[in-house]
Parts: sequence; structure tokens; C-alpha cells
Amino acid sequence: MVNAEDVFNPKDFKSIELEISMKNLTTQTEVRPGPINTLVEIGDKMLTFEFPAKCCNIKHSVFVEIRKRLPDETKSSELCSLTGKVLEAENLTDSEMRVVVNVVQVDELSWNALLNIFDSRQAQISEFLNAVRG
Amino acid sequence: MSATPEKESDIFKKYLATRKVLIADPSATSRSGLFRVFQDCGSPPNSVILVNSYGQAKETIKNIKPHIVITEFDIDRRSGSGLDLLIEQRQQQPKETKECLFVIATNNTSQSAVARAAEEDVDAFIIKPFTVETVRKTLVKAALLKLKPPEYLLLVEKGKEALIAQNYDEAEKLLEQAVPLDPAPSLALYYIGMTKFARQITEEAEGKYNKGLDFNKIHYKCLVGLYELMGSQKRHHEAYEVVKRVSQYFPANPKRLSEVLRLAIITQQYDDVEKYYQAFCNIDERDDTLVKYVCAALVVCGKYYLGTGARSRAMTLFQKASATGTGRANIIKEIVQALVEANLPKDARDYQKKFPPEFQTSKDYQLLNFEITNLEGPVSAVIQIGRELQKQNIHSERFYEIMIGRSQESSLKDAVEALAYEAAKNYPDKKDHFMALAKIS
Repeated sequence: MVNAEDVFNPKDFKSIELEISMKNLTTQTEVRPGPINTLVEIGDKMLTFEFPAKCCNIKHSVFVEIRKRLPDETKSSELCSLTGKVLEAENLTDSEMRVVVNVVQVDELSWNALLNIFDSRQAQISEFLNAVRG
Repeated sequence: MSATPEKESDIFKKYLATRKVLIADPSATSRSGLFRVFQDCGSPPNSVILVNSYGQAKETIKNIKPHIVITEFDIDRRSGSGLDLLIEQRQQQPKETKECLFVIATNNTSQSAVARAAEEDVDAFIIKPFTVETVRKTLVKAALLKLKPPEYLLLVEKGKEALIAQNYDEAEKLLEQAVPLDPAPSLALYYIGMTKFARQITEEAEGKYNKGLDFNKIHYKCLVGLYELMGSQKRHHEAYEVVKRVSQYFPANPKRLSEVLRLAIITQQYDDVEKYYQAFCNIDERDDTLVKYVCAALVVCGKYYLGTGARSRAMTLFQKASATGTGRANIIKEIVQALVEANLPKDARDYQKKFPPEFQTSKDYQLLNFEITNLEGPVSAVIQIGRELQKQNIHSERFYEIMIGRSQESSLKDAVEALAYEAAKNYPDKKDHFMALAKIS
């Protein structure tokens, strides 16, 4: 027997959300969490973001805080904080720029938590797709 | 024997060498990241096209006909989703579909997005932020499944083709051969079920779908096959249980949600409809179609409760429907109509005020106003409004029924006759009905 409440589950419509803020330690300016701030790619101790235009430049030192909110959570919680150097900074439009940060200092546990949260969701999704196809 | 990792990457490189790739993503950073992966895997640079909008992607699929499409799920909420591009690609290249790859790469990690993608049979679903290695591995795996499918899938594909060609004996033979080749052969069992269903051996078809579900309880095709079989036999209660299961694993398909709500109403599970509404209220992103179905179901439930005399429960549901469907004239119209039918003119007037201003000059609005006046006003007012509507050539069957009845009450014999002939002219198939009402032999 399936419950009606399970059939129409609001959590199913929600994504993992990241709140990203960045402090430019070189210019002492700050980018607060907002819709532009996006983490696009995770590399080997390297992160590629989209941030508001002109917020940093190559060789600037930055402090980045990433907070997560899972579909069943109402409040965000800290996921990973790091300091790094800007390797690439490219203005994409008048309002957005692409920023590649080389991670200099990060707590290994929180770095792994960042990797795991998306790795495990990716694994779940791939498993679901395989099961559905049968 | 499976290919070694080196061989797999070589096969993929060879595959990419002659394939056109489309990357459709509003984020320039994502586009460049994905482009780099394709370059690293061996795509010639001039064979990868990057676009940032749904419109551009659609044009590219039409004109360039890429073999591989990798797109953001929420590429453009107003024009179309990434999945709409999949439909476009299949339409443009129906014969090459087996060789084409369609991949979603998205920030949308919700189960509803994943399930929609699964239903549409996308080749892969990659979430952002991605790693280069995840993208590479996922693409290689998806491509190899197309280029070198296992024997099981080859037989299922051949069986499916025989089924489409209505060669049922051959289809069953091939599909039965496939069954022992996979530890969970739900797909093969589904197509055997389909073949049995096509042969109208429905009991065996149901058995095959259920066997497929024994191996894999979320096998989409088996669930849908079972649901359609039960629907075709009007086994509404059982079909409702199955479609609830489908919706549990595959949320947010508006078509199926409408089925869930329809079956909830047919099977009189009105409490379920109210629970669906409560859950619906917690969803941030409400699809327009979803709103429409939920409102319609609430109105139907409200009508049911009005019919059973549970007026206050009905009014609560109407309030919810009207609040959810703000500005939707058809929802208000349905509510007003139900209240008129239940002889509740005061409540009908209250809802009539909720019509959007642009609707208040419409024919439907004026006819509803006439019907409410008929319930609350003196005969003279009803006839006066009715005559004004007649002058504007605004009418309905119900309009003539009311006008004939009211004119009879006022002993307006000539008017009764004229109305009956006019009604018969406008609604010729109801001529006998109007003549009988007017007592014209």
C-alpha cells in the first residue's frame, strides 16, 4: 500500500543547494551569497566558480565559504571553507565572471565532504537510471 | 569479455572523430568545461558547437543535426527544457537515434528532474558541479552501451522490432532467449508482456509485467504497462494503486499527475486529493500544468461534497482552488456553476466577484450572472436581463430553459412561444425538449 503523502513528496522537487560567499583577501572586498555565485567544476584541489563580474583578479588571495542545504533541510549548514589563489579570472558578461581558484588551504574532512555530497548523489542518480531501464 | 579501459577510451575516441557535438548551456563556464572534456577525449575542435539558449540549440539540432547533445536541464524555463531538445533530436534523426547520445548536465539535482529524464530515456545525467573524470567516464559508458551493447540488449532490441512489425511469434522467441542472459531481465519481460497484451492474452501479460517488477520494483516500463492494462480493463482501484506507485518513483510528470487525480476522483479517494493539495502547497516551483490539474481536482472534490450536503467542506475546497488558481477564469467559472447548481446564489455572487476584470464582459460571465439572478432576483429582473442578453445574441441551452420557465410564470404566452422557436433554431438537436417545455405540440 502506498500513502498519498509519499506519492506527492515536495522534497522530490528540490535540489541540493549551495550558498557560496567569497572574501577577496587582497582587495578586502566581499561577495555575499547570491544567485550568480555558482560552483561549476571540481578539480584536483581546484574549483571553478561563476561570481559577479570584477570581484577578483589573477593572483588575488580569496577565502571561500560553501554552505549546503539538502532537500530535506530548511536551514543551510557549513560544508567547506578554504583559502586559495585565483588562477584564472575572466569576465563573461557585464555581470558575471568565471573564476578558477587553486585551493591552498582547506580542512581535508570538509574537502572530502564537498566531493562526497555530489559523488554520492551522482551515484544514486546513475543507479536509479540503470534500474529504471532494467 | 569486456574491453580494457584503454580500449574503451580508444573506441570512444574513434566514435567522437566522426561525430558532431552540441553543448547547450546558459553558463559560459559550464560550456567551456564540457568543451574541454570533449577535446581531451578526442573530439575534433570544429565538431563541437557551443550555444547558450534553447532557441539556438533547437536551431542547431534542426540544421546541423548533432550526434551528441549535452544540455542543461533548465536551459530556459520559458521556452523549453533540456528534455524538449531530446524530443527535437529524436524527431530530426529518427533513424540515427540508436547512434546518438543525449546527456543532461545540470544544477538541478532534484528527484523530479532525474525521474523526468529517466522517463524520456536519456543516455546519462551528470550533476553540477562536475569533475572532468565523472563527465568522461559517464560519456564513455553511455557511448559503449550504444556501440557495443550486450547480447541481452541486442536480443531485446530485435524482439522489440519484431513486436512493432506484429511478428508476435518471433518477438516472443527472441525475448524469451534474452531473459536468461540478464540477472534482472525486467525489460525483456516488459516486451513479452507487451506482446501478450497485443495478442489479447491479458492475464499472461499482467503476469509478465509483475514478474518484471519482482526483479526490479521501479522498472518504469513494467509499471506503466501494468497501469495501462488495468486501465484498459477499467480496474480503476488497482490502476490507482499502480499509478500511485509510479508517481512515488517518478514525480512531477503532469500527465501522470492528472491520471492520479482523475483516478483518485473515480475511486472516490477524496481525502487523497486533499493530501495531494497539502503537499503541492509546499512545492516552490509550481508548473502551470500542475496548478491547472490540482485546481480542477479540488473543484471536482468540492462539487462532490456539495452533492453529499457537506457544504462547509466543499466551500473550503473551492477557496483553496480559487486561491491556487488566482486569475484563472475557468476555475472560478466552474465554482460559480457548481454553486448555482447547488442553489447557493449568495456564495455564487461572492465567487463571481473574483473573476478577472477582462472576463467580466464575456459571454460566459453574463450568462452566469443571469443564472445567479434567476436564483435570487424577482421574475421581472430575470426577464429583463434575459431580454438584454437576447438582444446581444448571448444564449445557452440553460438560458432558454430559464427564460421559457420564467415567461410561463408571468403568463407571457407569446414570449414563451417565440423563445421556444428561437431556442430550437439555435439548438436544433434539442428542439423537442424546448417544444415540450413551452407546451407546444
